[in-house]
Amino acid sequence: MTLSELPTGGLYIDLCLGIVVFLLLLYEIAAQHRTRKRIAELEKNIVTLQHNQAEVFTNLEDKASAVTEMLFEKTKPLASKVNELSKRANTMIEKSEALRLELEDKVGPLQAAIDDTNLKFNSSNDAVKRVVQEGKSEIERMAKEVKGFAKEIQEMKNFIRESAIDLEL
Amino acid sequence: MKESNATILFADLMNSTELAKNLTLQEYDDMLGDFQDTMFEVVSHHLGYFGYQGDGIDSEWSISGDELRVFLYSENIAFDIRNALLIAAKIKLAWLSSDFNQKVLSEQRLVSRIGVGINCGKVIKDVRPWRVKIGKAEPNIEGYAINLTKRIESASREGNVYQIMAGASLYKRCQQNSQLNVAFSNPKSLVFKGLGQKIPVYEVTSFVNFEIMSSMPVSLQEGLLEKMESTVRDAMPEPWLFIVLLRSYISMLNANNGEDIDLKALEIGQQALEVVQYKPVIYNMLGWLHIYGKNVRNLEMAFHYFDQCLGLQPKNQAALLNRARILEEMGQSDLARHAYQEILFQNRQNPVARRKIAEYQDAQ
Repeated sequence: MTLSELPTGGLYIDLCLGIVVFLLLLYEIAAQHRTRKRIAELEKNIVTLQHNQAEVFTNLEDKASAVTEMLFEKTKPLASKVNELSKRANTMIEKSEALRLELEDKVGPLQAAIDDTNLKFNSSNDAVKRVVQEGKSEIERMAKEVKGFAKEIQEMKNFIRESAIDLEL
Repeated sequence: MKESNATILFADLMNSTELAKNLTLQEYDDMLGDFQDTMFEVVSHHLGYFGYQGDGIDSEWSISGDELRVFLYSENIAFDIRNALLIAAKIKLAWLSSDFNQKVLSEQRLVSRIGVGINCGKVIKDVRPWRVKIGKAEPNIEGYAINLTKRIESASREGNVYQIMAGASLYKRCQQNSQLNVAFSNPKSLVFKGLGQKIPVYEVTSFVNFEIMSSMPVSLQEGLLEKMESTVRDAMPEPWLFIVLLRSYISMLNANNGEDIDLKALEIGQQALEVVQYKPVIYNMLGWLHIYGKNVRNLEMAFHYFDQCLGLQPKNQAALLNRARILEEMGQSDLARHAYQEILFQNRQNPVARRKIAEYQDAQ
């Protein structure tokens, strides 16, 4: 079918659609071209970065070696000191062990003496407690007696007062 | 055989023959049962309360029919006399408030009374062999004093105050001991059957002793005051009851029991002046109430009552002492000093008057 054969109403619409499709094709071609250009740039950047990274690694290795060397140099005298300290610590441990043993020997009789004193103290404490308890009972008994006595005195006072009243009547 | 100086008390129901005639046998037996229970409760409690050992050691007593006999021989005659008087007053009071008499009172009839005779004298105690044989080794007590006391007791019907009669021996001992605080009527010389001569008999007209009430058995104390109050309002009240009741009020006042007790006491005291023949004790009680009563304190009235007492008994020591105290409290020192000197004139041993006169002399 030719253009002339197209129905009159749809002719323009089809034409427009064709133009749009054509324009879209053009745009796609342009976008592909731009993308390729970008990828090429990125690849170039990556190569640069890889080069830089290698350089950095090299530098880092150099620096690390230098630091290790420096540290080694610096820690060399410390190591001898640490050894010396370790030796001293061992000596001290040995001495404290000896002291502990010596103390154990001395603490044994002391503990026995303390236990004995404690026993004696408890026994005298019980005796004191008994005496206090007995004293308390005695005081309570005396308090009761005093109370009874006070009552008796009150009764006597009443008796005397009432007897005096009898004589006043 | 053992001789002792004993104080003897005989008590029996007055008009019991008449009662036996008028009551049925059961009623009479009930009355006797009530009488004996009351006597037992009062006497047994009293002797224990005042430290008598009983069992013939220092006292002995028995009840038979309508008669009670008490013998006290503690070797302290004043103590025995005081106890005999207390027993006499207490049995009269307990019998008046007994169920039998309360029933009689509720029916507005004349109450049954107890007549009492008390005397002192020598008695002899002996355990008869026949008593030992029957297993009752109680001592027999014999002596003229016992016969005489029985006669004195029979004269109690002629009394009109306490109906507690005393023989001359007891009267003399009471006169010698002012601590007993007992007053007697003039003697009545009576001739008793079997005794050829006139015997003087004295009636107790006043016996003021706080222990009449305070030594009553607890079981009898309950409601006793109310019964006494109701009895004195009776148409024919017992004169002695006023003295006991007023003395109880004074004890209550002294112990701060009851707010308006002095008002009640004053009312009963005024009534007593009309009933009691022996008035000095009532005047003294009224005077005391006007000195120490919270609601009725009035020194001038008190002075008036003590003056009334002295009008009847110029040597009444209680009235003289109270009058001197009032004068002192009123600030009339000269008159007070004179009053204390008057007491010493009557009784040189009066301790209060001696102390006061010494104080006046020191002040000078």
